[in-house]
Amino acid sequence: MYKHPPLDVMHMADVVEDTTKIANIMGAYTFLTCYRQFDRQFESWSKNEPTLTLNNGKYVGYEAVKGFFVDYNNEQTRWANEVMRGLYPEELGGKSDEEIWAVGSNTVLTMTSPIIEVAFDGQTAKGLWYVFGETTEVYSKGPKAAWNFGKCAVDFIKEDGTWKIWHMIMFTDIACPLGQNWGTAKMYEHEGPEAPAPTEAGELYKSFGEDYVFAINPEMPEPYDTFANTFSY
Amino acid sequence: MPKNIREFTPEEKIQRAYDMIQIKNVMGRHAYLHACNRHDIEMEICWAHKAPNISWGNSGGFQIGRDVVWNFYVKPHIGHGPKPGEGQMHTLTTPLIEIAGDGQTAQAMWYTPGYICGHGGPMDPDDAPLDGQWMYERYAIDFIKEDGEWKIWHFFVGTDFSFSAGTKYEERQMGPAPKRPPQYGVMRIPGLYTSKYNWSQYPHWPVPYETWTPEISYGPEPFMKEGE
Repeated sequence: MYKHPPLDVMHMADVVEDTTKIANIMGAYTFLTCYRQFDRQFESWSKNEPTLTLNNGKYVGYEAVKGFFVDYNNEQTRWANEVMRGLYPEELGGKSDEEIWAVGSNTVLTMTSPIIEVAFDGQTAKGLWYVFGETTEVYSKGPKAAWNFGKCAVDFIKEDGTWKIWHMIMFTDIACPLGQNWGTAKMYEHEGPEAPAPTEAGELYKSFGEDYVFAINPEMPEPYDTFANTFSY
Repeated sequence: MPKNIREFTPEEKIQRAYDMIQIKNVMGRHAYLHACNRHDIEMEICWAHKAPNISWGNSGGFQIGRDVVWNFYVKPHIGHGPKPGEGQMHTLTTPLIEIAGDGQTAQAMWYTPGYICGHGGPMDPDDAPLDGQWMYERYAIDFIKEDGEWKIWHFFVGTDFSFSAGTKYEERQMGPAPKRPPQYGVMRIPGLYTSKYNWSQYPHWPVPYETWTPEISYGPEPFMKEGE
C-alpha cells in the first residue's frame, strides 16, 4: 500500500482542515436531504463531469446527475405535497409548495463510520461512510417510515479552494419498513414520478436478500498521492 | 485518573489533531473489514504487530496474544467470506478519543448501533429463513503507535443488546449474558454484562492521561493478578 512521505506540520494542518471541511460537506448533505433542499445541496457538487451511482445504474455528467438529483427529487417533493394537501385539507389545503416544502417526509441519512483520505497533493480526497438511515417518505395514503442502510462513497475535488462532491456512490444494503424484519419484509413500492433512466443502467449492487453477499464494495479509501494513481468512485 | 498537566506546543496540537483523524480511519477500516469477515486483512493493516499482549475481549473474557486472537478472530473465516444472505454492519458513532500526553498511545470509545442478518444464528441450518437482528454495542480500544502509524492494541466489545428486528426489546427475559462455549485462550471475566437493561459500568470512558499504564487498559491487565 502507498504510504505518504513524512508530512511536515503545515501539511498535517492542511489535512486536518480539509478532513473537517469534507466531513462538514457530508453533514450538510444529510441535513439538506432532511429539508429536501436539493438545489442548495447541488451547489456542493462539481460541474466537472460529476457522477452519481446507485444500485440500478450510474448517472454521468452534470445534466444527468442534476436531472436525477435535483429535478426528479423536486418533482417527487411536489407530488408528495399534492398528496399531503389532499390527505390533510384542513391543515395544508391552499398552501403553496414553498409553504409546505418537505411536509410528511424526513429522510435522515445518518453518516457513520467515516474513512477520509486526502491526497498528498491536496487536490482531491476520498471518503466512505456507512449510512444508518431512517427515512420517512410520502406515499399515496400518507407518510411511511423505513430503515435505509447502505454505503456512501465519494470522490471530492478542490475547485478554487473549495471542496466539491465529484463522484458519489450510494449503494443500498437494506430498505425495510420500520418495525419489521428485513429478513422477510418487503420495502414499500415506489409511488410518484418515475426517476429518469440512468446513463448506464443495470444492477450494479444487490440489496439484502438470498443472493446478497456483503463485500468490500465500494473499495475503502487508501492513502494516495494524486488522483491519477488511485481508483475512482 | 491522571490528567495531562502540561500545555502542548502549536506543533504538538497539530500532530494530535492529525492523529485523531488517523485513529478514526483505522477504526473505519476495521468496521468495513469486520462487516465482511475479512479479519485477516484487518489484523494485518489495523492491528499492532509489535506490542505485547494484543487482545480482543467481550463479556465472556479476553483472547490474549496475536496467535490466540488470530485463532479466535481470523481463522474461522479464512477461505470464505460471508455466505449468501449474510451480512452485518457495526457502525461507528459517538467517538470519544483521548491521545496520551506522550503521543504514543490513545484510548477511545465508540457507540456502535449495528445489525446482522443471515439464515438465523450460527446454530441454525443454512436454509433457515432470512432473519435480521439489531446489535447495539460499545467499543473500547487502546491504540498504540508503531513505526509512526496508529494500530489497535486492545479491543473490547461490550454488547448491550441483540434481538430480532420487528420484535420488542422489552419482552426479552432479563438476566445475565448468555454463557459462551469454552474457547481456547479466553481469560474469563463473568458477570460484566447482562442481556437486558445492561447497567455495567465497564469499560471506563477515556479521560486525559499522560502515559498508558496497565490499570487503565482496555485489555486483560486490570483483571490479571500480580505476576501473570
